Amino acid sequence: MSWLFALTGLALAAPEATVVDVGRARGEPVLVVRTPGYAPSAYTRLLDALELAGLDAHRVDLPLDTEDLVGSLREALGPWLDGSRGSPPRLVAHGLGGRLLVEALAELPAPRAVALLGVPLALLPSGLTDDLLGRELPAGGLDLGLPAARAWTWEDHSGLPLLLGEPLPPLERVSAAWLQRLQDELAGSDPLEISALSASCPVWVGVGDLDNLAPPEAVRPHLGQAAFVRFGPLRLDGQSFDSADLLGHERPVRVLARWLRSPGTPSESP
Amino acid sequence: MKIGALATWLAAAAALASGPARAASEGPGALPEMCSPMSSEVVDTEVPTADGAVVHLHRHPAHGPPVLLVHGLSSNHWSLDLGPDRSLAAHLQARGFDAWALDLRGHGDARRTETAGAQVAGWTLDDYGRHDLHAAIEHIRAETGAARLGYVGHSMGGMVAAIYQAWHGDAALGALVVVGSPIDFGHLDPLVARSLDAMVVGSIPRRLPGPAVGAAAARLGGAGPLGAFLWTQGSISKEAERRLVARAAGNMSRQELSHLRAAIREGRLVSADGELDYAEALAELQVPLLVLAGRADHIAPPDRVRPWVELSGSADETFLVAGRANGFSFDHGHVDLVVGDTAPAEIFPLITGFLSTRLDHHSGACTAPK
Repeated sequence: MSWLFALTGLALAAPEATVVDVGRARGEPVLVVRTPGYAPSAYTRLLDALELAGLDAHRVDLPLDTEDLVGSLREALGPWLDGSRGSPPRLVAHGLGGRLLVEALAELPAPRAVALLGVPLALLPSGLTDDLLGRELPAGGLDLGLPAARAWTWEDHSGLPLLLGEPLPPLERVSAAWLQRLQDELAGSDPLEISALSASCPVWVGVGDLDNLAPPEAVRPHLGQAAFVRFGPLRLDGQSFDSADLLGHERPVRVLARWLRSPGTPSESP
Repeated sequence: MKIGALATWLAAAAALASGPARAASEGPGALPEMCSPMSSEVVDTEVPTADGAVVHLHRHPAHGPPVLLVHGLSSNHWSLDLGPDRSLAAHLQARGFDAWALDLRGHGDARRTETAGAQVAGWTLDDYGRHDLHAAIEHIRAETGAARLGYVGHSMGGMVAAIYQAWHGDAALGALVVVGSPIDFGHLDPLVARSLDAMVVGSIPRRLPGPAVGAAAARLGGAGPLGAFLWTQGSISKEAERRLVARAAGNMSRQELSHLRAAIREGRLVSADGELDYAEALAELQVPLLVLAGRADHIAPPDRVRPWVELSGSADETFLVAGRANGFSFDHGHVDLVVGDTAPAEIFPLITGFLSTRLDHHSGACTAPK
């Protein structure tokens, strides 16, 4: 009968996340949590910037077929944070992946540092998100990279670029569980508290002025002691930043990577 | 048209804020016919303040409830009445509101007055809120017989309402609308902080001559690269831009900038001497409050504006970001919130819709003003 218990245990365990070593540098480790729905190539510029900063970059890929993304992430990060692999790594996440990371870290030892790029610490209502809330979820999940997903329009706008930025980063399939989680959180969730996290390790938070997923007013009130950088047109150059720009533009990833090299020091101006 | 979606969203937001459920009487923001405009003529009045200065009021008369309009830093009443195609004052009047556009001391027609002479510099934002607004509001109440009036402030024009409230309370206000008005200056971008420091500490003249600079800029065709910082590109036609810089540019004094610097260092709106916390005093504000911010506003980004609703004690408060994610045709900047090509269609109806359901215009309230 033991084989039956073992099988049951396997079935109940959260599918494992995968940590992929993507860097060539041999510096201090940094783990980048890939947000569900984002293709690996969406993180190329960020990973390159981290490597350029002399950090040993890894990408954490979450399993598609789990309802417990936070549990999967916690299991993947655990061995890196419990001291068994040496000094704790730096952690990075973008967008909604940052919400998973902050939740997972609530029950884990402190990392060396955390950088959150365009992460909505609160989910504030808007006409766009209200529309998302009212939509029926596809039972089999949704491939965000296919034209069907991009057919979502709200008012005269294409919904996905409005939420995730334009041009859209390379996207892929998300599970129904992920969509349900998003809808549940939009329907009403308390802001993520990073006060405890920012008291236990250096935390850096970057926002984009035109990010409709993580607008500055959804982030800045909840910073705790975190370092904060706003990306926007500070030099009269007209350069604004939406969610996709934060991941794909040279300036935010460079500022983030430089801070991560020496976390705890003041961040450079964007 | 976006207004349907906007009105729906605003109504939903107002309902979430558990505000009074009074419906607009006629159409989007229009008052009953008995509140109709009295005349298309603008009536100008000088009003003395308690500390010896003078402000200037431009009245667009109507039989409905009075509404005071207050301009921002380095501007004047023209920013709220730039012409028939984009005048918030005329928009309000056409819907029955008795609109009064103010020139604070040293701005617009209050730069040189019959009784106070030249008003150049020597005051702070405290004086605007404590003296100028008090004088204007009491004058309007006396002229109209209204116990309470509506208030619409753009940018600094909203900030000084917080100062007024701290000194005089909100008993004379029936509803407050602030548009692109920062109240929280925490986490300032280092570049902006350094620029402000340099402006004040450096050898700037006692005042920065906004009107002269504006006139020169208008001759050169507009605001140039500064426009990209002040409004969303393409949101103001070139003709309107020339009109804007020629008419609506106002002076800025060293004391005003010093006061702003003090507030920025404090992280919130405080008095020039740092003794009074005007942001904290908003807890006493009880009147209905509409807070509008532009998603692409680089002067007053939404996170610096939103704390109005967190700080105020009002039970009827609405915060709305004018951006594409809320159904607006584009992400609004700072200046285009009040003078943009689409402001009469996208922004003004939100203001009149809010005021028409909050200000008393029933039966006796729409009598002929004196």
